[in-house]
Amino acid sequence: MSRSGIRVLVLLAGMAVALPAMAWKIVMEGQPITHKGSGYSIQYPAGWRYIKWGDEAVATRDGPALQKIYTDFRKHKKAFRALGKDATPEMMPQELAEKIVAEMEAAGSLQNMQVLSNEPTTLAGRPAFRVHVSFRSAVDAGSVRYEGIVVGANSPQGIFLVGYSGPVLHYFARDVENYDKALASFTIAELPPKR
Amino acid sequence: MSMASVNAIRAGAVLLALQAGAAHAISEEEQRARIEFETTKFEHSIEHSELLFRDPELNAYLQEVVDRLFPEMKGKLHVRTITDPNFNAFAVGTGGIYFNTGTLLRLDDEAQLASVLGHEGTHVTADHMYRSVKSAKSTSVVTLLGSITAAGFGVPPDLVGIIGYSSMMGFSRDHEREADRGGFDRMSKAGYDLRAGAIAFARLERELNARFVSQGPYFFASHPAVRERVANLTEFGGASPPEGERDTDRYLAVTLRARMDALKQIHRGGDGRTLVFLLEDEKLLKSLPPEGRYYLAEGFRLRSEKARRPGKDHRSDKEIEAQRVADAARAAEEYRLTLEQAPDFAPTYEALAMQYYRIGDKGRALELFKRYVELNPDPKQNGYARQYVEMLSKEVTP
Repeated sequence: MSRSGIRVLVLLAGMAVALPAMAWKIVMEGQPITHKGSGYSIQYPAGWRYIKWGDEAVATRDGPALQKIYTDFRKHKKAFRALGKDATPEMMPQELAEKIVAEMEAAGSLQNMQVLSNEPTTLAGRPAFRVHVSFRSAVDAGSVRYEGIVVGANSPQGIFLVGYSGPVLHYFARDVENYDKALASFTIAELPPKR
Repeated sequence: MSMASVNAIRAGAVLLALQAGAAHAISEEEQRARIEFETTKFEHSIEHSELLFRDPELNAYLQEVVDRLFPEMKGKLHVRTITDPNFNAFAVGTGGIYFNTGTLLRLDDEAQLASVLGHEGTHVTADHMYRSVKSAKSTSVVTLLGSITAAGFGVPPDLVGIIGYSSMMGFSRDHEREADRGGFDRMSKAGYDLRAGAIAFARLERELNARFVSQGPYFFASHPAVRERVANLTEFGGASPPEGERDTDRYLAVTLRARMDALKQIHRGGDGRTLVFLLEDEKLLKSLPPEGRYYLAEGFRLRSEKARRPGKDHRSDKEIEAQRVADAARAAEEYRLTLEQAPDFAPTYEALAMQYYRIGDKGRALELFKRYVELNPDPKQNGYARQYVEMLSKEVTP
């Protein structure tokens, strides 16, 4: 078996051990998930399960491989780790979108990635990008076709990303509406300036 | 996958092939039927795929050149173009020759085109596909070997299945030299300039160096290293008189659409180094419409943003920074020239607006975004610019 194959197996085994130990909680209506460090808040679909770690929060109904809505906050410094690049507060949505796409392309776990659309939108009232992609995954040897959407906006403190992905067959289309509702609930609180 | 891993897999596959061949020897007739079946299936699927660059005039032209080189094979060799910005071409045993749009972009004239077509056509007429499979003993394992090799070289997935039965897998050095010699003789009989092949491949070698691509088995998988091909073609053409035909004008006119498509694909891929390498050649730049210069400007911009190539670039930080600054300045100059030469080409305005925005001149950025939207009213394409106009209008006081 190749070294990369062994790495994937080790990763999967690690996840199998680690995931049950992490605390998945049920999403309650009217109780948005908040992130103190960046000030974001999002209401995931009620009844889904969610988990928070670091600056990220993921919610799913049937399991992350079948559908997930995730929220991520990245500081400008090393914002695009896979590319070894920083972001800046001045970067415009189109530039951020290009970097996010390049980062996905650089990730070895995504195969045959195609950008289906890349258009402007708003996130929490800020100018943002909305990128829709299709891809296959190295984890399942490319046997399943996935689609994903990422919406992202810049701010003086960092970049906010809200994404959604799932297999095209049966799952992806089913929860796009839930994703859009979560996006509409996304807010960014004004943080007090650092002393 | 590293080159070392590819080579290790190839070595393993060759051993497997030899073992399998001993256990499952099949007759020549059966082997030929198998190759023909697989290749026909491949040609059928590619004919209906998104990979083909559909341009009937270009196809007719390529066919005309191939028929001129191989008059006795008329109706048996056919040429198709694949939408791919890299330099590549390959032939299959059933007579198909597949040519990348990126190859057309890198050639100057019909004589250079004939040198590649002559080489690939000779693989077919000299029966190299069958001879290689026969020497490897087992067709199925040869396909496997070729597929693995192709995947390692980043060949599009749709093409991977055919590799074992095509010239893309690469042949022995002897076969490749035979194809170089055969192609050269065909060019000679057809009256082409015999120095053309060496010129084309010398340029490819320079490009690989500029892009930090190693000289290993990159081009056509196991073709001889590019340097060796340059040497072969220089040796064959060394004493040739320069009066052979080149036919530059017709070549450039018929291939224009395909060449522009390859250029746009390189641009979409963010490969500034290749754009700069190709378009700094004034001859190529002049063969394009005036807006072609926009891609040179974008090349410099992209190269300035990606100044260092991790692991492959051994220049000092000072040298890299100097190149970054020089590239950014050159990008600005090339945008300015594009505006002069193609004042109605919308993307230049958007690119310049972004540049002004980055340096904090929001007033100028707003003006340019507005102009972009005027020139490109398609709402599917100008969404970001409209968003910026709205955003900047609030920030910029008239």
